Amino acid sequence: MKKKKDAPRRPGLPPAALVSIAGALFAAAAFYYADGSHEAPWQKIPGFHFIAGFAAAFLLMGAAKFLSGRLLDRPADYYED
Amino acid sequence: MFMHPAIPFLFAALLTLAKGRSPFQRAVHLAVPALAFACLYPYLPKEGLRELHRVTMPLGDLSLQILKVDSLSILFAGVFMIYTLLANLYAYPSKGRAHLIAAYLYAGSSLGAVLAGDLLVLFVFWELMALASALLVWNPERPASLKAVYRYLLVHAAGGLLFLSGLLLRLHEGQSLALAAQPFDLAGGLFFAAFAVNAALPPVHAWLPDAYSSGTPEGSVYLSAFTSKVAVFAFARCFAGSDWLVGFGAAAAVLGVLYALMQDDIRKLLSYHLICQVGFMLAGIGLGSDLGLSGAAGHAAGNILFKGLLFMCAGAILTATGYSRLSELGGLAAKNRTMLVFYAVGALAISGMPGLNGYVTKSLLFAAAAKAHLVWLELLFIAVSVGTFLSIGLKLAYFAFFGKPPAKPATVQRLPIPVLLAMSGAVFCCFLTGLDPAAFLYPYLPYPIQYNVFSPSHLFETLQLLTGTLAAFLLMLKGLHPHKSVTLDADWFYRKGGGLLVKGVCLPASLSQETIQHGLTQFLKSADARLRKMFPSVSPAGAGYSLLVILGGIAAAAVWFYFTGV
Repeated sequence: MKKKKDAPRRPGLPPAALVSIAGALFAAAAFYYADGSHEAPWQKIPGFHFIAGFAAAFLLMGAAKFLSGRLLDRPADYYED
Repeated sequence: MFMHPAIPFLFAALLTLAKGRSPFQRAVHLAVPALAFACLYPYLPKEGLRELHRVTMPLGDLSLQILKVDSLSILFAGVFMIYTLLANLYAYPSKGRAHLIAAYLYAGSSLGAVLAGDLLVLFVFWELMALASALLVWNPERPASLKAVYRYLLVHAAGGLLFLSGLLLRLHEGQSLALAAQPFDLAGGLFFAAFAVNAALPPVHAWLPDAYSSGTPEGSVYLSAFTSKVAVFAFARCFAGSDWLVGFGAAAAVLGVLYALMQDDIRKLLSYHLICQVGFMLAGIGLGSDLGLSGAAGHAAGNILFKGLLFMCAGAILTATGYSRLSELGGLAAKNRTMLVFYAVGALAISGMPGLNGYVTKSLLFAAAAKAHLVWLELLFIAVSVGTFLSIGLKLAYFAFFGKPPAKPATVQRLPIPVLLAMSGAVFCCFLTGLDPAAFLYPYLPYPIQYNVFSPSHLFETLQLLTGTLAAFLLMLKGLHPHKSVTLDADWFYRKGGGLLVKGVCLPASLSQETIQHGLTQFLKSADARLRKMFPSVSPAGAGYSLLVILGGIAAAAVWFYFTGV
């Protein structure tokens, strides 16, 4: 009998890798077209906006999961009694 | 002869009351924004939009400015009229006479509010808006919505009283009632608080998701556009350049986006996100620069269109499937591709995708923060933009349209043609102002724009931000899986806390020693269980020692300060 394949542990990994490659290309393009309009030095780091997007998304999802799971979530009928 | 642009709306409401949905009423239903525009036309500036026109009316010793047309009011009034046309188209198949009457009065009074030249006229339209919009919160199919109407009225009555108190103080002191920059004295503070209620600034924000997720689909489409934007307009008139506004706006943006990420109900998610976007606008107004004010006004105009489009899609999903929770939806993309396309445009516009209007107006606000050298605000704008794409562009889109369908998949009905036309109109406006802002947006903003939003560098930076967010979402997809729940918010204080307060006040009269002992034991047990759940790895002994050390440290510090007198 053919053994059933296990589901991948992180199914989002291959598409995330593809998206990251696109992000790297955008970072290269932004670096090439840099017009010196930014004053802050961290904004001149190649790929800063990709990293910022990734890090902010990661933090926001973590914060939302923590707040809803540990503090703020109640049953759907909480206000109905 | 002068005719106020709000009068056609009053006429439409009276006609609907008298005749119901007759063919003539249906024609007026679609024509009413055009009639309002015809009333406003003689007062439009003929030589450039920055010229000012006023119409005054005597009332006793006062001279009321019932119409003030300048670059700020004409932008808001123009977008209100365009959006009313789209919302009326969306509500065309609706049979609810009472809701249509409320919608006309609500849209008309909102138009009157943004054309008001003094605080008294603004107050009258402000209160009319609150009363008319309360009816839109009522959904005959959801009995619980009546309680939401009651809460909505209570909050807005409190806001109205703050406004009235400020107004009476100004009159008592014999000061000007002109709708212009206000000093931050007692009356000014009362106006600020009243505007904050309507703008849903924290901590008085919870009414917005409570009300906007309760109404009928058509009701929510109207509600999403007016109340908060009129408050943004009032803030722009009276408190431009206020540091308080930057702080409150930033807080609203963060709170709104975090709560949006936690929601299961799609209209609640959109409502929380509306608070976030209003925060964006108010922070821009608080900067006080030309770029900040123009960016905020442009973002308010754009938000009316793309947020309206998103509420139209949410209403369409609710109408077509009967469900509004992400945990009950899924796989809609295969059943209705048209809805997916409309939703995608709205979601990408609000996320700041180049080519759509959100990209332009957000870029102006980013640039305003950078020019003010507020690095923290610029970083906060970046984080909030990421949260916007995450909650609306990815979470809602994925779980409603592509997620695993529930065990009992919803049947999807076809959408009526007027609804499709309304959504197409909003999509058209989003693209028009997004692709050519120099022709269709900048000339109507309060101040001239000297900023190129389409520089290749900025374009690729935005795309990086979006791809970075998408990569993180794909990796953490499981963590955002929706589940049926409610999220505690500030409304807990008047939905539960009020009852608990009454119980607490009455408690001492009915207590014996045994009940006190029993209650205390139960409280300590539940606190212990809750703490163990929150911090499973900390042993009770460890927690006790830590608490002892902290308390000992505080006591030692107090003794030290007492004796040394530092």
